[in-house]
Amino acid sequence: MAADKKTPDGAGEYEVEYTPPSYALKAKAPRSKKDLGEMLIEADQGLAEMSKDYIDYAREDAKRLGAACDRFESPGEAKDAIETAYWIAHQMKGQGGTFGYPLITAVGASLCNILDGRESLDAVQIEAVRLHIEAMLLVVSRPLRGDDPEGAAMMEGLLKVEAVARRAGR
Amino acid sequence: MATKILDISQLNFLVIDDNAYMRSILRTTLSFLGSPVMTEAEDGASGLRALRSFPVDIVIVNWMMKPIDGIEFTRALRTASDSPNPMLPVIMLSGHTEPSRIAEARNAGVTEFLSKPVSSKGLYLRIEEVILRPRKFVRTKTFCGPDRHRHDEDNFSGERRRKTDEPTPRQD
Repeated sequence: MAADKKTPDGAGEYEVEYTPPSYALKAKAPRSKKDLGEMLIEADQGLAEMSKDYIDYAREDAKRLGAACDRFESPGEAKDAIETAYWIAHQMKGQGGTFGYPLITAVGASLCNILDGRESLDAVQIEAVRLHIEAMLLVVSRPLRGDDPEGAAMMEGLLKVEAVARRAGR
Repeated sequence: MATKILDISQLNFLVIDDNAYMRSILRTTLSFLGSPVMTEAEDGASGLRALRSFPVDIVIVNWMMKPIDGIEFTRALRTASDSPNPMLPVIMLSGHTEPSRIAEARNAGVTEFLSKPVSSKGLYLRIEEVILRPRKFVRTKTFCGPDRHRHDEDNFSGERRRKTDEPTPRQD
């Protein structure tokens, strides 16, 4: 199992231990007779059923984003509010596309890019975040999935706002 | 000939995610892929406790969780002296897509990385990779986890620059 090696000049020793791979899982999971493509279609249909409930969760998340944004300028609360907003945006970014709402993912990603790693926001950045949250509220209320010109135009504008916000405060 | 899906009905999955809705997504997806039963945990700490109570073959863990996130969970699984199974395959889910983040996960000992939004195809392919192409396990002073190189090319003819390699003979 072990394969300790000496350095080429013999002066020291690398401590490297290798364990061969185990194929125990392969023995437990043989090929079935079911077609992979068909199973994936069924799985996607199952997810599509779940997406009917997702938009309600997304609306609640968008409201919580707005509540966090209201605290950005409260003394002593900015850092926690930013972290909370980032957390929510990150979750929405990861979930939206799974349920057929790529626009939620796109807005969430752009918002994350503005908030990532920040402990405070200046006026330009706060305005940029507000625009993103308003966009998110619009997306979840309609709802907009993203496969239309309105969604594309909205994202184009948000990305410009994101670029300005990221340059601010450098 | 159409590809046949692996029969994963005998495998035990542990899903660790602090978002209940995400856990239900994964439960539904795994069920459709043929694994009707899975164990769930809400964070890294309860995930480690679950590993001590239930037999688990593959862990699917979210990165961003509180108080113990997926990276901390993976490091504890790989390196803690009382880890129930240091070599357990770990599939990490994350909304992070930056190469630096993926490298961070890999260096923490994650076996496979899957970016969100999650698709059933993406999840299945990671599960299949873990099952069909397991990698050797490596322990050094600074790293513990599956080999970060996916291929071990014995016939590699270029310069060998790994610290554990013998130096390539000079060809003057």
